[in-house]
Amino acid sequence: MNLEVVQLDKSFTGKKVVDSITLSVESGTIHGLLGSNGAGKTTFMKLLSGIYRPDDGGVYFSGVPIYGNTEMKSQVMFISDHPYFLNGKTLLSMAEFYKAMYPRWSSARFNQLAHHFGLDIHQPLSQLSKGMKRQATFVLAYASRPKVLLLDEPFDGLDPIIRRQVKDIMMQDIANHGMMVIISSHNLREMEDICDSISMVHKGKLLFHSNLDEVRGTHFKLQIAFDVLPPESFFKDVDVVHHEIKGRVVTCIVKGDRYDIEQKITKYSPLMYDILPLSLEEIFAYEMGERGYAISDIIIE
Amino acid sequence: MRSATSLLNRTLLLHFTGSVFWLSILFLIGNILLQPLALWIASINVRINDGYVPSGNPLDMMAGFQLVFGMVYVMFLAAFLFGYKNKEQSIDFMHALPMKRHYLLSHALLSGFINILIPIITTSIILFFERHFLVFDISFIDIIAWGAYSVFVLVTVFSVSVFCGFLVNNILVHLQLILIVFFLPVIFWTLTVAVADALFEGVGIIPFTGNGESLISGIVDNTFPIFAVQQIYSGFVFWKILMWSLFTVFLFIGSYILYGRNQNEKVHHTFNQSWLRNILVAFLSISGMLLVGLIISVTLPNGLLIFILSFLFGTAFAYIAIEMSFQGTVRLERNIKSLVTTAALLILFWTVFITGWNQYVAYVPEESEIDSVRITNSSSSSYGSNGNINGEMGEDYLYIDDGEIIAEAVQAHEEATAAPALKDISQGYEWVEVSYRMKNGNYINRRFDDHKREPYKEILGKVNSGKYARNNDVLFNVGDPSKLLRVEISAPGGAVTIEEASPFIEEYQRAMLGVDEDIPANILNGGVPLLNGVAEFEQSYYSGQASIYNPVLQKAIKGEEELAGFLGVEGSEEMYTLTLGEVDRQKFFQDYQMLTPKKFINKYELKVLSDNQMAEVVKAVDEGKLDGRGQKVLVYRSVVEDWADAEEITLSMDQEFNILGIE
Repeated sequence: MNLEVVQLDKSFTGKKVVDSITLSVESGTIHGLLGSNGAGKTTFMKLLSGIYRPDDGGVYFSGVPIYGNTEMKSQVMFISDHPYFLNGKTLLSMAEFYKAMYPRWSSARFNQLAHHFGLDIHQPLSQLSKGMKRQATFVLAYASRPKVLLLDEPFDGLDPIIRRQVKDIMMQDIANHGMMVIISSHNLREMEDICDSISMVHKGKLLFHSNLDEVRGTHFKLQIAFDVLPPESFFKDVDVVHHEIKGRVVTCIVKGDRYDIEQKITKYSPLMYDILPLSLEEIFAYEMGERGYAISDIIIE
Repeated sequence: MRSATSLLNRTLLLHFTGSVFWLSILFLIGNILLQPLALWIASINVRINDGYVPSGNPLDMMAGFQLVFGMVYVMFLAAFLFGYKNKEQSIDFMHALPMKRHYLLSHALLSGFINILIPIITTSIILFFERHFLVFDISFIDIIAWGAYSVFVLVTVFSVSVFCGFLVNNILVHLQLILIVFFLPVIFWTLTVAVADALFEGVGIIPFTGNGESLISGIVDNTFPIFAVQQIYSGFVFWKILMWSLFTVFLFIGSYILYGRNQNEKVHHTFNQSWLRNILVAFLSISGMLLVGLIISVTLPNGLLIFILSFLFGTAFAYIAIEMSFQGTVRLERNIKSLVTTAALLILFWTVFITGWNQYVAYVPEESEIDSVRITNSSSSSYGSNGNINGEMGEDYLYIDDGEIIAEAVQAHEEATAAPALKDISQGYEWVEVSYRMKNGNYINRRFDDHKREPYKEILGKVNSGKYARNNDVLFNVGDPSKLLRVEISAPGGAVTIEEASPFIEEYQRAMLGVDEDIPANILNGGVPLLNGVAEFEQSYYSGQASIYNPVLQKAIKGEEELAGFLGVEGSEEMYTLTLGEVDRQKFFQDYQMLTPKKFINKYELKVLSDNQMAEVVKAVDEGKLDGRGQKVLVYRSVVEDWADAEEITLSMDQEFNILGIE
């Protein structure tokens, strides 16, 4: 099941929260949705899950629009950033509810997972800790066997062990059943580890959408030591998008082909240079900085 | 479990039903307390006290309370069933489920119906078995009718409550909106009319004595909770029930449409439609303005400044209070659109109010279109009878179709409307009411305060004449004597109750056709009425004039008391008799109502009767020697003159003395 988002628009009280986003994600992959606070990620996720009706454009799973489509929604599971359960329910009664809602529900999976995570299925969910509630949400989601799993800040409150287990189960479903996962998170280190592709949104707009390997192959950090600092034309020539100078050492971020970059640098006779891959966090900071969302220093009173 | 084709998801239905389970248990217990238990207690009381078993349907005794309780329950039922849509997490969860909104709504509605039906059916079953142990006679059909009507009422309230829920996203505002939808129209209109009544001459909210609808009855009778309870006591109007049923269907369809169009993302807004919110704020503010303004301007009646200020304060107070309620905080955010809407509707309201009520009070009907007229005042002995409230009296009761009286009434009305329309409350609380029965069957009622009474003074004297005794006779005008419970006759010296009312009234009415009188009835101008008759029905009673010249009435009184004592003749300390002879009878009776006792006695050179003469008069009266059109009249001081302080008020002759035609 592939996802196609076409020219998706959503406005709240006249303000565009999702602005003409177009992207596609393939089944059996994990897509990371990155963005600044208030960028519209949660709104976008709710559009993907068919909770919100698009103002314009559409969200299509295997060519079929999700909004108002019961059949499609039965295969798409959305886990919001705040676990929610029906009032007064236990994990078992929630399981019965899910069983009646999701045709691909597996009771065997539910029992196995509940046991694995050590959850008391008879305990009211309202009495559980935040992390336990999160685990319960994942148990219910995995037992529903969705083809698409939409996760909004999913690992908040989970300890590293459970976090790892949850991710492992997710990987199994991806590998064995071709499940598509779309994760919205601010934990870029974690995203870098598990995502196949990412998209970055800011103020409702999609800044870029790419395979993570491609991003790593086109974004670099250069550290160059010169005997004499190069002229300004160097930065234009090498296509530097951001640079810092400390003494005779220039640190720059460049976008482009690694070989071409190396060719251009050597023309300016550096004493030494190093081309390093950018971390996702650095890419995020750089892309956001380009849109005026940079880290700025402040000395408080 | 759900299949692809199943219409019903049992789990979802159980979820909704379970979410209001305890609420429905509460309703069931309340229902049992208000019907089966209340009937049981009433039955025991009747048995223990060997008391009176009330006629009519025993289920009606508590049905009003039970319905009100049920309506409150249904409001909460709808609010809690659809409570999920008031929180972001819950509405997101529900709308992420693989089901269409109409499917969700259908299950919630079905759950609502179940939670209405089961308590009613359970109560009906208890009543079915209980009835055999009660002193009351409750038929199976009565229980079915009670249950069916309860379900109709509760489902109608449920439809309104559900519909309102899709307009708002907050449970408290939801509950408020249900009350607003039901009661804002009637409150708004009643306050509008009340303010008009306080400000304009000619406006009377409820006709005190005239027939026809009150200015608010149309909206009061069609306010559903009031209508629902009224139906129990005044009988079912099936076309209205049908209309409300259609309205209910319309609202359920509307709920599906609204829910289908509702936007999840508005969950943080109190109202889904801001224009609706702003209009409600405006109407509630205007209602508050009218209420506060009415209280202050009535309490402090003098001064235009106070009048204007009171309405301004009322508006500000109501606006702030309503915004706090709708915003759910006391720290208000400025809402320019709401402020502008309120200001605009305020200007529109006052424009329509002043123009409309000016036109209303200036209108005088065409003489040619008037069938008959009723003119009365605050001193009328028919005061409080509210005309022919439930249609139990004949059509002509209190109305005079004499062309001369109609022409004079129209002229007096025109004179009254020529004066300024704004009321001066300092003039007091006396009034003159004119009620026209038009040839098309409609009624036009106007009420003027005391200072407008002058044009009506002469005409009031005329209609007070015995000539119109039959029109004013409360007993003669009883429409269906078989529905009467009892008749009471009171006079200055006694009171008689006639339990066998129906045959008495039939005889009285036959005899009245042969009675001729022109003695003033003393029913107007503050005179002490000689006789006051009360016709009591199950739901209402009528008070007014009765004729002492009717032999059937004389016979009934004689069966209980001496006539002279009853009429207050015996015991009166001052009596005069006069043979009218050449005296202008009409002028004489007019003077009787207008002149002070001293002037009247001097003008007609009346000689006070000696003790012997008084004794003879008493004997003659006891023997029933009365004649409503006789040549001789007896004028005697009333034994109940203490109602007015003679030192402060100059009383007219008719206010201190009764008059009686004697042979």
